[in-house]
Formats: sequence, structure tokens, C-alpha cells
Amino acid sequence: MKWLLMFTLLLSGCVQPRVLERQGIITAAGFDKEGKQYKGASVMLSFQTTGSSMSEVIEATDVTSKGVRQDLEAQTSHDLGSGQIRVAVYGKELAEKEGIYPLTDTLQRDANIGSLVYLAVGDPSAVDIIKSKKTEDTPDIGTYLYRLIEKNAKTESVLAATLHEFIAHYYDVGKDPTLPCLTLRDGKPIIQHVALFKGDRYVGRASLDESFYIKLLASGRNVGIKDVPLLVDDISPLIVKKRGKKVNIVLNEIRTKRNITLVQQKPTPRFQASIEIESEILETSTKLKPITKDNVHILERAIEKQMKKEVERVLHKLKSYKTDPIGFGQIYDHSVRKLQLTPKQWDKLYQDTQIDVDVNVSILRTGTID
Amino acid sequence: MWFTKKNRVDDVAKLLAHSPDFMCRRIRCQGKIVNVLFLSNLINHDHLQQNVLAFIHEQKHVSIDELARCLPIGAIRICETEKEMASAIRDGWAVISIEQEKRVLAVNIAEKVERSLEKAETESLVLGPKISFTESIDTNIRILRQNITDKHLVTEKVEIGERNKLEVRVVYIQDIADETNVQTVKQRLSELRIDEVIDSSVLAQLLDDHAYTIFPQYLLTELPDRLAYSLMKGRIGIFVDRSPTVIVCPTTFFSFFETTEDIYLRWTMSTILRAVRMLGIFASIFLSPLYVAVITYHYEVIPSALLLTIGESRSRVPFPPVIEALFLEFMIELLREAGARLPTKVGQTMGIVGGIVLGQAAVDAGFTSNVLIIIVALSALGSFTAPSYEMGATIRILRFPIILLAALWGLIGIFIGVSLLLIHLLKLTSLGRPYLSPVYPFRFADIKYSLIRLPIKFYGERPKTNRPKNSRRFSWREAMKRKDLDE
Repeated sequence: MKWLLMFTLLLSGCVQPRVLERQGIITAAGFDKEGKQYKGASVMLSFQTTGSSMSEVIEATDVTSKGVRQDLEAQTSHDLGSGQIRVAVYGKELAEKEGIYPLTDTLQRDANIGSLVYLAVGDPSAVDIIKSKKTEDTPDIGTYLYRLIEKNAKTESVLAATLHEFIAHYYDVGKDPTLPCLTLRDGKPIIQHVALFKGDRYVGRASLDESFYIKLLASGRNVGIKDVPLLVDDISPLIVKKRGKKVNIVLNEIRTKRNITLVQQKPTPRFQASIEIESEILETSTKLKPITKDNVHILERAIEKQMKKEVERVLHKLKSYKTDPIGFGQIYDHSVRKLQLTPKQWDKLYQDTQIDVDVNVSILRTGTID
Repeated sequence: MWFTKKNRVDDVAKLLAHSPDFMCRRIRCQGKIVNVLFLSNLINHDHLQQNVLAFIHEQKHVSIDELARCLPIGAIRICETEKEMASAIRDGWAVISIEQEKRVLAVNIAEKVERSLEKAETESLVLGPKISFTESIDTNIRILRQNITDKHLVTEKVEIGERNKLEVRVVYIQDIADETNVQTVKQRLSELRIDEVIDSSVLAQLLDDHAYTIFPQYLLTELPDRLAYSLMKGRIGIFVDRSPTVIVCPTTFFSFFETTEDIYLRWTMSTILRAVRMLGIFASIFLSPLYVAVITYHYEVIPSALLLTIGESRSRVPFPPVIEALFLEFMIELLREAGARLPTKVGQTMGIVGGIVLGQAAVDAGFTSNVLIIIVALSALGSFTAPSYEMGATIRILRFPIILLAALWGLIGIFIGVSLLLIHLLKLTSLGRPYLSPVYPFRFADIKYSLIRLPIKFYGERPKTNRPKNSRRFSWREAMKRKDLDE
């Protein structure tokens, strides 16, 4: 019996080995749609026996996405392995017209691919982003894009989503995904915008400035620095010499609390969104009088006023795109008893939703100046 | 039966296989003929001349009883038969027979060959006593008695070996060691039916609970302080004549990873050193199998920063990872074995040649990847951190089946290996006591004796694993109180 069991195990244990150096390891992939054809590109690491390693980009065009994969396989002597994939980039056109859910779904179903893959939108084309040769110190574009998105999502105002988050938000009622939007500047991929999605479709984009508020309201996470333009009239007691109409203040956020509550359900939903920011001043565009305990409130109130204006503008923009990345729908769903919110219901309600914004800024430090 | 002088000596000579060094010194004294029989290779000649021959010569009245009373020698024995005489002579005694007397007198003038006391070689310590046991059981017992002055120390003598008799001493502290353990040891020793036992390591194998396991079940030590420590904690020691190592039992898996240095050093260092040792052992068993599994099946778990390094070094190697790993492991084993067999001076040179030159050449020639060289070297180092030589060897061998499992089924194979190993360890016993204690059966209070080390004040109780009759060592509170009064 013991031996029988052993032999069964030995004979059945024919898992296909995937030896490291026989794999064409894909670190990033891009998909585009051109007319009726899918276009795909992936970065493949090729290990060099001498000298430093190189990455190679292979491209293919076909009518189906599986066909693309087949074409790609035909171009290399290695087995294409997607286990090390870090970033998947989708073309703007593809995301706008078809939605990217079917493509993300295949990634999610592959057990070799982790769900911490970053997704991004390539504007205008994903393949061009993948083909870029400018990767700073990293050997391949996949690692570069991964580090670019990871760093900006962690410390800056970029809203990024991993495969897991994207799919979760896709299925969530009352919350839409957002992805970083990559563009080429002098041939180097950078993050210039944040792509807004409705379901799995690209509907518009927000600047990084706007994304600051979206991220703040959506997650309450650390969102980095923010440039706030203030009207000179608002802070006139602090001005030394009046010149121009606006003064730019750069704030570094230290601690943020945000709270969104549903205050009224009928006839139309009404939310109270309050943001409390504790921050320090990093830079001012003109010279100000010394900021003391007595006059700091002038600055604080002016910043609050400006921020409130900007938040309202962003919320209005989101509403016009019919997208809800902040998740008001979720809050609505949670706050109303015995309600199974459907996407259709929320679409209708969202247009009539009123959001009162209350910003509370306190400046803890004004920086060390003599 | 009537003896004549002549045929009696002949009979004894016959029993001693007519050994050429068998001698019979005949002296005429007070009109009587006195025969002194001995094996000249075994005795101390100065002793013979000054204390035996000269003494007999000076006697006014010579008889066996008189000699037995006055001879200035510690160990004497009266013998009657030739067989007894022959066996005494074989032990290096001299037999004195007097004309017309049936009984003879055997006196111990043996001179045993032994080396002087030296520093411990296999279990070397940085801190603490350096002395180690030797091949002579008398010396060893003497060293032990110097180490333990407890009046309850018992050293029971058992003789084993049907042809080649061997003296074995079972030592324990009577009011600490568990009665059952002592009885088990004694019973197993008395039930041994074997012609001869060469060394204590052989005896340890004869006393094993499980003959087919790869794990050693008894600790062998050459350090008197380690033995004394174990005895005071309720274990039993078995001395074997002609062997410099002492068997300590019952033993647990974790005691193979302890050294007495853990007690000599302060508790913080010891805890960290024990953790380092455990990590080393763990790495030693699992690093190479993990390499094989990951490179063969699971390239997706390699961190992206390492991916290129590993990929580049692997791309030069023409073999599958498992062949590569087995080849390198075999090379290291070869180096170790060759180093152990060669004389010390040559061994060192060979270590350098083998380690540096061969390793570098193997990478340059594209036989192995340099990542694997690091891994194999690390795991070899890890196995050498085991303070017990036996356990170190076990761990080195354990790696091979797990590498094969990893090559067959990847990480799943490794886990199959770990599970089988764990099941096996759980089933093992040493002297009928669980091998994996204090982890299973879980004894919280004993963890401080095996996995970690705490400040001395927490060691007021003896480890429960040894089932001591008397578990109390000291009370920290009382010890501290006395100090307060002095102040």
C-alpha cells in the first residue's frame, strides 16, 4: 500500500517544469485597438550570458486577443511567462470604446499572476508606452513603470489601482475605478493625468491637481504637496508689497481626516463631506509678513475658501462624467437600510446628488525662515 | 586435584595461548619456591621489582596469607583456579603462587596506556572549561567526580561484551534522575547479547529506540562540564571504557543544538546565538531545495530586483537546476569528507583549494551559477553550526531527499518533505521519552532550556522533560533576600 501510494505520486507528479532561463519573462504588457485589430506588445527580459541584461519588446496584431498571444509566442524561442508581469497598460481608445474588463479578467484568472499588478491607461497608445526605451536605471520598461506608479501612488496625488482594486471597484456598486494615465514626453513615459472610468470604460481624465482632491476624498490617504492659488485680496493683511492678483502657497499635508456622511436621503441624496487638513507651508510665491498665531487664521481661511471652490469644481466635473470614484454611492448604499442599490438606480440618483463641502485647514508649521 | 609446580604454570600458559610475553619469575625464598606469573607487556616493571619481588625476598615467613596481609599494593585478590589466574594475568595483574599452596595471590601492577588530558576537539568552546574526556574510564570517572561532588552521584558498573569484556558505568544523581529512565538504561544494557562493543557510539546505536531513523537518539559528548550539567538536570550518563565520549540520555531533538556555552554567556547573547543556530540549520536544510523549486517551477516568486541576477547566472548553466544543485552539494560533501580524512595540515590547504579554486572555476566554466555557490556554501556553513557532529551530519544528508522532492514537485514537494519529516520526528522517542519535547508535548516552562535562554533567575526548576524526581534547584527570592540583609 505504501509503495503503491508512492508510485502513484511519482508517476502523477509530471508538472511541466518552467525553468527560469527558458522563460521569456514578461514584465509589462500593452494592449491597443486599432480599427478592428488588437495590437499587443510585451516586454520580455532576455538574460545575457555576458554583459548586462537586455529587455526586448515584441509586438503582434490580430483580430482576437488570444491571437495576439499566439503571434507573440511565434516571435520568441522562449516560453512566454507572465508570472513576473508588473504593469498592464491599455490604450485609451481601447478603454474608451470596448472597456478593459475582459482583458483584466484573463489576468485575474491566471494563477501565476499576482493581483498586485498595476494597471494603467496609455494615452494615446499603450504599445508606444511599452516600446519606449527610456527607463532610467531599470533594465526594462516594466520595472520602470511599476516603480513610477508605485512611488507616485504612495507619496503623491496619483490615484493608482492594482488589478485587485480595479476588479473590486468594477464590481462595486457606487464606486468607479481610476487608473493612472501614462503619456510620452520626449519618448519617456510619465504620469500626466488620472484616467476616470465608468465601469470598465474610460470616460475622461483629471489633472493631478484635481486628483489630489479625489484621492483625499476617496481614501483619506497621504496625498503629498498641493499648490493653492489665493486671491491677494483675501490675504491682504499679510502682504508686504502688492503685486499681481494671485499668491501661490504650496502646502505639504501632514495629517488629513475626511468624513463623508449622508445627511439627507429624500427627495434627493445630500452628502456632507468634511475635510480636515493639518499642513505645513513649504513655499509662497511672494514675500509674506511673518505668520504668527494672531494672523495665521487669515491664511487658513483663505486657503479653506480656495480649496472648497476647487473641490466643488472637481465634484461637478466628476458628475458631468457620470463617474463616482470617491464612492458616494457606496456610502449611500451603506447608510440606507434595506436597500440593494443597483448601478442603474445610483446613476439616476447621482445626477441629483448634492454635496456640501466643508474644508478645515490648520497650519501647524510655517517652515523655518530667518 | 593436586598441583605440581610445573604443570600448573604450564596450564596457565596454555590458557594464555602461549603468549611469548608470558613470564614466570621463580624465586627461592626461605626454602620455598615462589612463582610470579605475569604478561610482561602489561605490567609496570618498576612496580614489580620494588613492590613485589623485592618485598617477597625480604620476607621472613612466606605464605599466601602473610603476603596478602603485608604486600604494599592496593588491589589484591585471592584466586584458586587456573581460569581466574589467567584472566587476572590478562588484565595486567601479577599472580604469586607459592609451592605447596593451593590458593594464589593476584596483585594489580598493570600499567595502562593512555594519553594525557587534552582540549576538546570536536566540541570546542570559546568560553568555559576546556578539558575533555579520554579513553580511560578510570580517568573519566575521576574527572566526573571532580566535577560533581554531590553525595548522591551514583556510578553503577555493568559489564558487557561476551568475548571482549567492556566496562560500562551508568552514572546519575540518585535523587534527581527519573527511576524509570535509570531502569530502562540498566535493563537494555543487561539484555545486550553481543560479542564486543568497540566504542560508546556503537553502544548508543545498540541502545537506540528506532534503528531505521536518520536522527541520532543519544547525545555523545566529550565535555565533562556538559555531562555534569546534564546529570544535574536529571539526565543519565553512560561511560564506556576505551571511549572518550559519554552517552547522555534521554535526549531531545533540541538538545543537539545546545552547547554549554549558551549557559556561560549572558542570556541575551545566548538567545541570539541559539536563534542564529536554528536559522542556520533551517537554511541548511531548505535553501538549496528552495532554489531548485523556485528556479524550476516558480519563477514568479523571485523578487524583481533579484530576477536579473539569478537569470543571468542561470543562463550560463547547461544543466537543469536539480543536477546543478546536486553536483554542487556533492562537491561540498566531497570537500568535507576529504578534509576530514586528510592530515590536518594537508586538509587546510585542500579546503582552500577546493573551496575557492574549484568554486570559482565551476562558475567560470559555466557548471553552476554563482547564486547557487552562495546558497550551497551558506547551507554547508549552517550545518556546521550544529554543536553535535552527529546532528550536523544528519542535517547535511536530510537536504538531498528534499532537493529531489523539490525537483519533482516544486514547493509542494518541499512541503511534502517537511510534513513527512515532522511526522517522523513526532513519532521518535529517545529512551521511550518524546524526541520533540518541549515543542511536542508542549512544555512551556522548558522552552527556556532549549529554544531560548532567560536570565539565570528563571532557572529555579529543572526541566520537566527529564521528569526529575526533585525539580527544585533554588529560589531566586531567597537568594536575593540574603543579599538584602547584608547591606
